[in-house]
Amino acid sequence: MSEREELLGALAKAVVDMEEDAAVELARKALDTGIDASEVLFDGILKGMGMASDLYDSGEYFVPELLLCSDALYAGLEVVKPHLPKESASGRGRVVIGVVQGDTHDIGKNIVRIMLDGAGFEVIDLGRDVPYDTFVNAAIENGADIIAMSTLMTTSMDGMGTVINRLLERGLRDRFKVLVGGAPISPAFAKKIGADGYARNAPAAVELVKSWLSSQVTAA
Amino acid sequence: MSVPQDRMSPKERVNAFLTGQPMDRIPVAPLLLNHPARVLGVPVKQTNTNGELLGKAHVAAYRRYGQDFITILTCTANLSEAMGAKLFFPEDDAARIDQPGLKSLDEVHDLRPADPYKDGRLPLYLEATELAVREVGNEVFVITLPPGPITVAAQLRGVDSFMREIYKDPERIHKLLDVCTQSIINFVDAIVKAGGVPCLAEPVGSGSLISKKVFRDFNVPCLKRIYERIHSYGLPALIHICGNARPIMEPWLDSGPDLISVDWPTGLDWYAENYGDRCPALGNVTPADTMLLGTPEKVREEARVCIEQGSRIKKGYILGSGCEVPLNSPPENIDALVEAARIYGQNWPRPIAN
Repeated sequence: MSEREELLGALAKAVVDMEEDAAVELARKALDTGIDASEVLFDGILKGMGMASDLYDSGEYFVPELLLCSDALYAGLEVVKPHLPKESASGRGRVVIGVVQGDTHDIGKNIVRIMLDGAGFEVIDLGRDVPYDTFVNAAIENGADIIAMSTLMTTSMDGMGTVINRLLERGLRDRFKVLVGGAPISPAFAKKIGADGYARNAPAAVELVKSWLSSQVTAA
Repeated sequence: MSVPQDRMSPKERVNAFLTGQPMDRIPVAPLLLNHPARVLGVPVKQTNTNGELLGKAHVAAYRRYGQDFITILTCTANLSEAMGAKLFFPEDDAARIDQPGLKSLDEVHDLRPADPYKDGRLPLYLEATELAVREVGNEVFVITLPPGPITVAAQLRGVDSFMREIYKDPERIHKLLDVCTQSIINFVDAIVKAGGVPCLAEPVGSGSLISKKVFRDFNVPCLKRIYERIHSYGLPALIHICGNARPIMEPWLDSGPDLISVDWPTGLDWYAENYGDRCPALGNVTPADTMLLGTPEKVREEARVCIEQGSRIKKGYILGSGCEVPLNSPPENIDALVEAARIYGQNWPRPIAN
């Protein structure tokens, strides 16, 4: 195994093993040995986060493990970021994400954000209890491709439909794909409010975003 | 469709269930938590902040629907609130957490268990419990729900911080859980004294969030202590866990509950097949899709399927909603769930076919 492979493998392992300090150290070391920053990102850090996502999907990792992996992911990202070419971060597509107005349960949204980050998308996190128009405005301002909304409360779920209606009113519906999820949300509900897609969990959300953005690239 | 008349009171029926005696029909437990405010016709904030109204709303809901349990809870943050978390009360929705109670785990050492007669809105719960027991306690059990240990602890630290600290500072997380468990036990004592029956609600200790190992290492010792106290009153240990309980089912059952309430993602068929010989279960008609957005026909049909699947749980089964019946569920859907017990669950338990 070459030094490059060894370093990047160790970096990926540090991320999936929840070792934040090791991830920072290995990312620095990889850059110091002259490995290209994009490779450090994609073949080291994001590869490790991909492994963490797989473990989550297969029921070996849960929220605590994933959060700690994400700490290593973001710490590594900080090291690599200054060395990356400017456009590379946004090359894969942009998602605005948030928990809709009236709800503050955000752990599910956070997991989706982490996994989208881990898959190399640019994610703008609007947080929780997000007013309807903020979704629309943030999507416009950031030139987003996708609006992703989540809620755990049945009393907030109709708000997702409100956001879609605001897009329609402003003639912007075709500009963004709308993805919804959360415990009370079903495919039938997603369809009823006119969302483009529903994801039952974070890995499914990432798959859907990938499929949308790749078909967009093909169409263009 | 002719609906057979009940021949037992809810209390007689539930007592028969708990002692393994035959019942006129399957017991039915729609988890009505905030919806009773709709029955009483007051904004949710009022039942969330006034014990008398909370009690009256639950009595009104029981008289309206005739379900087999009164279930008093406004939101699972009642104990974390009593220990320092700040809640926000919307005019017409359940309260939600605004700020967690502990800025850092350093504060654990000064954290004191809640006093249910003084702290937060716990006195309001006791007042509501007493009122309901006084009004209808001769015919129905009044269940009041303390949250489970993981839920209280996670709300006090903020869920994200708590989840990280399970790994980063397990010692102080154990200490935090210890104080939370004592709070729960204090609340249990007061609920029993008020004439109620405690049932834990553990949304954060869910298999949707934490692993089997974390549940076993962190929650099981706390749950055992709480059940022990509940058993000391001669009462059964009841507990509801939201979301997908499959990953944590093994340690959950090892903790030794007498009846578990499972949410819709857990699956009654799966439970009957894998764990039906270990513990009776209650559940799990889909709250949002069926109770809130479905028709009475859809509710009846899903309840019928639940009863079919649940009848294969050897230890016993109670029909119920998977989680809280959504606030704005149409009353006719709740009627349909209760009615389904009468239509499809006559002469319970049904002999188990192999």
